Amino acid sequence: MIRAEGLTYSFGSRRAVDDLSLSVQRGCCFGLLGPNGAGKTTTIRMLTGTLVPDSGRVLMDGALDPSQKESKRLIGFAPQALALYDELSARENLAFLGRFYGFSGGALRKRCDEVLELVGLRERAKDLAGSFSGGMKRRLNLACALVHAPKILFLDEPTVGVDPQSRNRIFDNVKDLKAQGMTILYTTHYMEEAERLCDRVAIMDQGRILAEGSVAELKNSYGGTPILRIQVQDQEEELFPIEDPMAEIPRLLAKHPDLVSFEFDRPNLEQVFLRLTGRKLRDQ
Amino acid sequence: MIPILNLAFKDLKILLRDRGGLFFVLVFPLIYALFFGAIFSGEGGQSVMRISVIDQDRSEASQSFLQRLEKSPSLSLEGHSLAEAKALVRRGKLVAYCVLPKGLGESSLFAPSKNPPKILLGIDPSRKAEKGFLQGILTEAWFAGLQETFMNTKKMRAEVDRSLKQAMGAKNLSSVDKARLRDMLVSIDKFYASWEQKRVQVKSMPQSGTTQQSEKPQIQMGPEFIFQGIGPKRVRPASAFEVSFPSSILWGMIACVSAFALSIVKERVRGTFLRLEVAPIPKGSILLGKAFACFLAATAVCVLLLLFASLVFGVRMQAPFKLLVGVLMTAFCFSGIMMFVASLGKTEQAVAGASWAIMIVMMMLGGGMVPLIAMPSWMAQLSDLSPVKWGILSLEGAIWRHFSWMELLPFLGLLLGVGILGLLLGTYLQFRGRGG
Ligand SMILES: Nc1ncnc2c1ncn2[C@@H]1O[C@H](COP(=O)(O)OP(=O)(O)O)[C@@H](O)[C@H]1O
Ligand SMILES: [Mg+2]
Repeated sequence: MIRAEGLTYSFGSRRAVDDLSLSVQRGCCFGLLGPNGAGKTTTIRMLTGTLVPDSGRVLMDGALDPSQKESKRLIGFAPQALALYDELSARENLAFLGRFYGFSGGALRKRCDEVLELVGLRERAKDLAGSFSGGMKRRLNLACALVHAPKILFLDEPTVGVDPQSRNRIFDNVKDLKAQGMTILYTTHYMEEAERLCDRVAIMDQGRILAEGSVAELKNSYGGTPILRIQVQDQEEELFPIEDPMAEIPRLLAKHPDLVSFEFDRPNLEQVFLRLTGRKLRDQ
Repeated sequence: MIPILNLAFKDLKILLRDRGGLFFVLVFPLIYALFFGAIFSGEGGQSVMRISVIDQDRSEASQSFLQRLEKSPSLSLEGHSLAEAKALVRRGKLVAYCVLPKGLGESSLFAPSKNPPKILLGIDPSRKAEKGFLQGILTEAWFAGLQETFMNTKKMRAEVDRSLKQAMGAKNLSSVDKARLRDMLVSIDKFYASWEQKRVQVKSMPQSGTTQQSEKPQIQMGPEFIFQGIGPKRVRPASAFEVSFPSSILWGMIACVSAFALSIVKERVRGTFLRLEVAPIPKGSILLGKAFACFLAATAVCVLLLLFASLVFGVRMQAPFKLLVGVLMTAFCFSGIMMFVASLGKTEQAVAGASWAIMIVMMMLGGGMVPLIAMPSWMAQLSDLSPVKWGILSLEGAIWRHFSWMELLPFLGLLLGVGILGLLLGTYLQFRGRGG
């Protein structure tokens, strides 16, 4: 559905994206995971045709250039910045965008109601976007990208600055949309989100993709072995690298009858990132 | 809906909900127009009238008349040649000029009706109020002179004597009139003679004359005013509001420039532009929609202010079609300028600063602050460079200046040209600034 080959873009002398290639299958939720400044937003802008790459090319749906009108109809985009008109109500924001896609009158109203319902803002439809909380704005930002029922959805850090309820709502929305067969490209610097939502993840740093695969594949290749921590009465905590925890546990219980607690550290994408770059994903 | 209309209506809706923006676009210009209109209309009625008196007679009588005029608190006299004075009246620098022709002093006090003393006046016929007022002051000064003469018995008797001689020698009087006049003058002479004696011998009474009052003598006592043409009709605003409203409209224009230039930057910063760039509309239409919204708002401001001016203050619209063209061209020009101004910075503060700085200079030079008439000459020359001046003149040209199309054309052309230039340059700079 989306295909990018050798994308490169520099802001002046600073190379933001460096020879990046990726391919997203129809109906897949593709995660672009990387720290701030990795080049995720720049990549999305090239994929959506709002930034012309210095070199490389992007193909939508097999053959379309993203700046063509036909491919623009396929694309929905929720920018990282809250791209809303504060002076307009939630519904007016949606209706304004919907008109560009040929909606009008009753059909437009119906479509606005649907997406407002989807993101849980139906009751606040008439309130000005400026009066919304951060989480509500994020949800409206998502609704704006969905008003014309796109086939491909670009979400640039859709959960930044969001309260837990809004965050869960957005997760549910993304899952639902994926279930309906929408192709989604999702960028984030939260590895939990990528693990939870994405079928495939590309780990990105300094404008490049360092590794790509399903979450399980990445963990297997770069996560290292799982670690078992056990605490036996009156003893120091012990760590064991183990391959197959299910087989290990019965043996463990038999060996240590006075076991107080045990913990199992599965490898996560954080560790994958640490392995790949020698740095943490976020500065804590 | 056409994308540009959708974009423009959205911006207008936002402007209507933005109290600060609306204040500068509409309310402030209105306050400006009312304030300056009121200040200058007050001054118009009460000020001292500047007139020039040309004394061609140089007689004792004309000199004393002049002296009396000088004493009038309502007049300020200036010395000019007749030609100079005429030109000054035409240009509106003087209210009127007044010629005391040769022979004024000779025409005697009780001159025959067919040959009254003549004073020539040159005044703009449209200055109706001043005309009547001035005539009154001159007449009053004239009679003040008579009064002096009346009180001075020696002078009076000499005057009567002179009048008598003149009347008897006059060819254009019938013998009946001559007789009547002689009777009257003789009786007046007697009156004054007795008056002189009375001061010494209180007893003596003046002999009453035998003059009949049944028939009114056809003798005019006051001077006759002869109004002279002042050359081509001078156009002037009917009220200060005809000047203050065009200027205020230009304040509205620059407020529109500032509001919409800011809204472009806001959209760039907030990311709504990014969203529009993903929508299936031509890239240029996003900026064009902004320019169109600015144009609509600017036109609406013009129309609202002009309607208000016309309904409440009777501001004339001498040439409605020319006015419409002037309004559209002015709105267009400032929409172009808005586009250019929006390309001057990346942040809201930068653009707000740049736009107000540019606009205030334009306004100052263009006559939005110092009226064009009141400018020192160096400033008046610079003001030709300001679109604000072109706008004011093309509006005033249709409101009260009686501009012909030929006179309007340079201003309309400049407005159109700068509008197009601003649109092209602004669009180019903004596209370049976005890196594709
Ligand atoms: N408009 C810009 N001008 C200059 N540099 C930029 C601009 N936008 C992004 N960059 C730089 O490009 C790099 C990638 O940025 P971005 O794509 O926004 O990263 P991410 O979205 O992954 O946080 C960063 O180093 C950033 O500083
Ligand atoms: Mg980003």
